[in-house]
Amino acid sequence: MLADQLKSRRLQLDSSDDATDFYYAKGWTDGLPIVAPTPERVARMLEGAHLAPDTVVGTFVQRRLQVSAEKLAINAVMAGCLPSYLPVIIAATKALLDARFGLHGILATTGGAGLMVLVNGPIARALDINSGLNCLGPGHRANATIGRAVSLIARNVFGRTPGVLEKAVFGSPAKYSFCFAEDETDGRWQPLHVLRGFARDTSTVTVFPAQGSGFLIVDPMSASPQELLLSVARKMRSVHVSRFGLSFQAVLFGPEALATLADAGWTKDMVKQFLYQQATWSVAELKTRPRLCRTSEIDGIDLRSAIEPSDASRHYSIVAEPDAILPIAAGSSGQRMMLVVPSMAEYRVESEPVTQPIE
Amino acid sequence: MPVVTTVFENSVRALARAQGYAQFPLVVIKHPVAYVDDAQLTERAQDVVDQAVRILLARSH
Repeated sequence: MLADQLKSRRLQLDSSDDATDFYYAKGWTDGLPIVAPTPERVARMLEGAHLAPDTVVGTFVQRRLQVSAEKLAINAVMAGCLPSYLPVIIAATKALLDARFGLHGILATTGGAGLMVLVNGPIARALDINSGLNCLGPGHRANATIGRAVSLIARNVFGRTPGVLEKAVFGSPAKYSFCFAEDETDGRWQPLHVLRGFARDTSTVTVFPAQGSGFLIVDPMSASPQELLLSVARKMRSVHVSRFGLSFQAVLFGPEALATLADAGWTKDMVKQFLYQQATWSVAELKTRPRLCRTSEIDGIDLRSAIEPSDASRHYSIVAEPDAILPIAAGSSGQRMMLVVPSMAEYRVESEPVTQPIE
Repeated sequence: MPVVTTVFENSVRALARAQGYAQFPLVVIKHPVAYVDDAQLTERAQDVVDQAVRILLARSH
């Protein structure tokens, strides 16, 4: 029996209520009740991904940790996941452990990053991962529990212990659970995983170190693509990472916003390019706060020098490059809305989004 | 040797402990570093030098 192969320490507790209290007292929960990870439940979870308990999913190099499927399954049970969700959690873990993501710093940062998990491809529909109405909100089991499992894995497997290996000044509700799917129903826009080099019928997760759960833009009055995207650019440019020009940002477009753009022939690549060019600061603005972004010079311009007349017309983007912008279709009809989710780290210096196929 | 700010001192000590180097010497300076002015930065740099010299001299005995 698979349950007999589990290597984790066994605890004898009288009831599930005891498990919640005991696990909470040990610091192993997010404060919410858990499903007790009995050997039988953990075994059923592993069967969902057809994995042996000792399968090594990845290595957390800086913390010298080998991450086993068994540990991920335990946290998935605790979070309330169905066994069919485990492959998504396995892929998300692999993506988080990818060196490009910079997990060590992301978990420790005073900024308190949310681990955003975006699911693309057929598995999102098969598992009923919400991409529509209230997709970032509560009430949808796959979204809630996959995101929660990733968060519990960060705590219990990766060692994201608040006050010790995590120093979030405020933290964020996004740290409880932050998982959703892209709405791929409008064929005019390529899904994000296709934009990032995967086949449309491949299922993927993309992980992103989110600075909170995002800034909403309600914009019923902007009728043209340019007006609409300028609203987005204004929000994007208000965001800081430590060094100017190294932000990366996800931008969610609701159906009306998508229609405004796609009806006028705007592709995601055009959107990325436009936002990159418009989400800028002028050199004059940068010179007013040269220390704001830990950048004292840009292209040889000393930002501590006096403002010159030409500085107002010279602009630099807040984001590192067009590919540092991730346009995502999501949400339900209601009003023309967008949501900007900025990164909690510097692009390709500290972190970047990582997309991983789901096996 | 690692240089850390006060906010991250216990994080680094926990990591060092977990990797079997509980007594690993650290240089610990005031937090933050990113946004301080030149005078404060100079003060922190001097602090790094002072502590590093102390640690190195202690290890040489």
